[in-house]
Amino acid sequence: MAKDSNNKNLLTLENIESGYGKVKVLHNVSLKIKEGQIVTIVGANGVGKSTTIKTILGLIKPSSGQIKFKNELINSLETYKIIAKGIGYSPEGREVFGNLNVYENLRIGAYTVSKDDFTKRLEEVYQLFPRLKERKNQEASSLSGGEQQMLAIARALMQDPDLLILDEPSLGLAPIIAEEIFNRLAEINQMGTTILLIEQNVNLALHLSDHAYVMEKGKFVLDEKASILAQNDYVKKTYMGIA
Amino acid sequence: MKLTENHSDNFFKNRKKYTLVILFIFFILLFILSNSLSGYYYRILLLFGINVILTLSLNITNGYANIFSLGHGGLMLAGGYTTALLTLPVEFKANTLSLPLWLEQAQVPFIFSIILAGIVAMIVGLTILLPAFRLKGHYFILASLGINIIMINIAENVRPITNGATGLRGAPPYTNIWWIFGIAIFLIYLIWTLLTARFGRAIKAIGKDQGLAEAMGVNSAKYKAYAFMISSFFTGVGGALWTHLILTISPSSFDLLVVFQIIMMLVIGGVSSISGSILGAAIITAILEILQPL
Amino acid sequence: MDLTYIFQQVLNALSLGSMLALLAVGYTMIYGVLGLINFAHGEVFMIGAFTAMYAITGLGFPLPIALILAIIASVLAGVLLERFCYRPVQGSGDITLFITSLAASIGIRSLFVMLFGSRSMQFPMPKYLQGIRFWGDILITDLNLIIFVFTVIITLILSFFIKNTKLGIAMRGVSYNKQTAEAMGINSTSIIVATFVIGSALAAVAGVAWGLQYGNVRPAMGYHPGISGFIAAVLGGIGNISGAAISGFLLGVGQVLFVAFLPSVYSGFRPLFVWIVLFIILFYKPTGLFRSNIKWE
Repeated sequence: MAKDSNNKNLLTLENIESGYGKVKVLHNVSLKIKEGQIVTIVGANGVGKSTTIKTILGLIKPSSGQIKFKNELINSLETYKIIAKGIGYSPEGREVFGNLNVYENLRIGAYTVSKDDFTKRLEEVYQLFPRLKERKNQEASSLSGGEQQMLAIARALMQDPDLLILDEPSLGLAPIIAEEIFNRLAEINQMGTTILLIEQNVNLALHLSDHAYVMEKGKFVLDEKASILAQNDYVKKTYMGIA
Repeated sequence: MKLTENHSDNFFKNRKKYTLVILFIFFILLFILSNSLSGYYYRILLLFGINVILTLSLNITNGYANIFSLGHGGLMLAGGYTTALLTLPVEFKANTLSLPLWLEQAQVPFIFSIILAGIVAMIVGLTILLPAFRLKGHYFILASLGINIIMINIAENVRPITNGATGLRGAPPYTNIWWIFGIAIFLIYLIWTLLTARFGRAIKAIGKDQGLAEAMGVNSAKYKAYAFMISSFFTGVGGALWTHLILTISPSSFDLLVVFQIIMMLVIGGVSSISGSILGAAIITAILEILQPL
Repeated sequence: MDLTYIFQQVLNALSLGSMLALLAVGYTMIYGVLGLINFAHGEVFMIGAFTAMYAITGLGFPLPIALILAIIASVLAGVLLERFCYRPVQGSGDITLFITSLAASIGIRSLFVMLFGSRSMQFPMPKYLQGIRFWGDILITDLNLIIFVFTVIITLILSFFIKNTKLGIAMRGVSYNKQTAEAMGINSTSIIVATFVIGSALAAVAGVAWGLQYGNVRPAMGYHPGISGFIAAVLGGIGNISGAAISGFLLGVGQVLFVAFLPSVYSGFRPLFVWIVLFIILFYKPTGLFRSNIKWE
């Protein structure tokens, strides 16, 4: 699992302060993701994990600090421009377009991509998730939760992103399906996509990741290699329910 | 618990005393104004008073209960035509309209005609809107716009009773400063009392979050219907007062533009506030008068 | 009341149905992406009709060029409305949106009354559209036929566009969930502008058709057709193009039949028909006749 720690930084957050209106959620958050890594943010509900992601994507603008993607400042860009720089996003709760069929959902995922690249990419994604190919003409709202999650990930992969951001991909799924999704994520990472993961299933997430951050009350309190964090007593006790 | 209750009782006793004093001063002021203002400014003052009544009525639904209605023009129309038909000179009714004899001969005292105007407006509002209550959000707003259009359409087309698009002329000029501000103050008092009672709590809860209010056991349909009834009653009364001020009404006097003006009064002063409605009515009445020459 | 009579009335209603269908399609698309009842859509329709009228009577252009100018004017009006009325108040609550939309509608209408007066102005019809033909006892005007065919073609092309092109899919995506669409790399603002362009162009076509069919235009002409168009959009299921078009046709034809079967004294009640239908249908199906295409809370 040891990936070259000399790799370049793909995404960096420096001293980010962010929130909704006057309510500050993130305090002085800094984070680094190197190319090829899988990085997880672990934390309880409402501590600011999703806010961190929304800030990266420009859905919320940070009040101070810097966000760099591929060494380029992206703080003040609109969401659609940030996405076009090579970020794929699978939102919390999946948020597939229920009124569109599977194929059309994937077409929207490839919005920033040319028609030729789209057809090529579609085959690759169908290979990764054969179930989606079977159901390509079916409306997304009629899929099961696991299939919707696969669709959300596939949609995020359509533009062949350098960074894939996933918000709670295992939420509400049966353990066996969650595991299947995580196996897929490992495959995707092996093909060269960097992954930023938010997950409440800490056990599963730490097993998959290279690096992990623990977030509490809008701050990162731990920042370690995933394998080391998995042995950390505090993490075990608080997040994995192991005394 | 006991302590705070006593405290609030005292507070209200004092408040009542102050209110009476303020009311007394207010009526003296009205008396002075009614004797000193020239015809033009006196008329603006009356318009302002009617607008206060209309805005407060709209505030009950569109503000507190959060039932956004665009249909209050149709309710005003119902009130206006009712009072006109009950009080117009018998001669006019006999010559231009073909009414049943009892209505043709009717010369109802003002107080009864405005109460009847309110009741008719209330019935119209309920008939059209009760079925619409199960509609959500924008669909309800659309349906409420229907009241306006339906009432105007009826007034334009039932010529024997309404004289069509020409409208009714010569309503007696009964409206004066005492009627208007008396009713306005009664309405303020009524809203104020209702808001502090069980009804007000229920209505405000429904306005904030209907689902939650229902989960707490509030019968939202019932309270919304009550709110709508009170609102349409006073809108009808407002329409009647207006009719006896402008004296000639036609269907287009009550179109969407009128509703829009009242909504502006409501919004400018701040929704769900009594003083806001009064302030908004004052501002918009003034602006409309300034813009009149255009 | 024989069958020929009914069929004749249906044919007479084709142009009205077409206009309502065109308005309804524009309404449904704009409502879809913006979540806003664009009351000023009727005024965009009126602007198209006025532009064509002026291009023909004032500037002496032939009808096809007048139609193109009408489309340009309406599209411009629609885009300006979006940019200066609706974009600034986006996300500020239903009531604000409603008031803005009502104000825009009333404002544009009043402006036109100030400029042109509130009376009807004549809309000339070229000779080549004045023909009539007989099928047995049934009479049909060329104009009626042309408007209908034109509308059907436009609606079919548009449905295909919305169903199959990337922009069309993106429009549906934005209608369903704007934030997620943005997070897929879609610039939702430009999608909204594109929607206004299409909707306003359709309104312009409807406006010119109105002028040709009824021979006159006036500033208030957009009020009732606009609202009927929106009602058709609601009945068709918001965001559903073919649903809106079909409902528009049905409402138009229904209005004419409604009046045809009543004694002529009641012909003024025509606008009531759409409301009666709306109340009856919404009472039994509070989400419209056809399936809605957007998430409905």
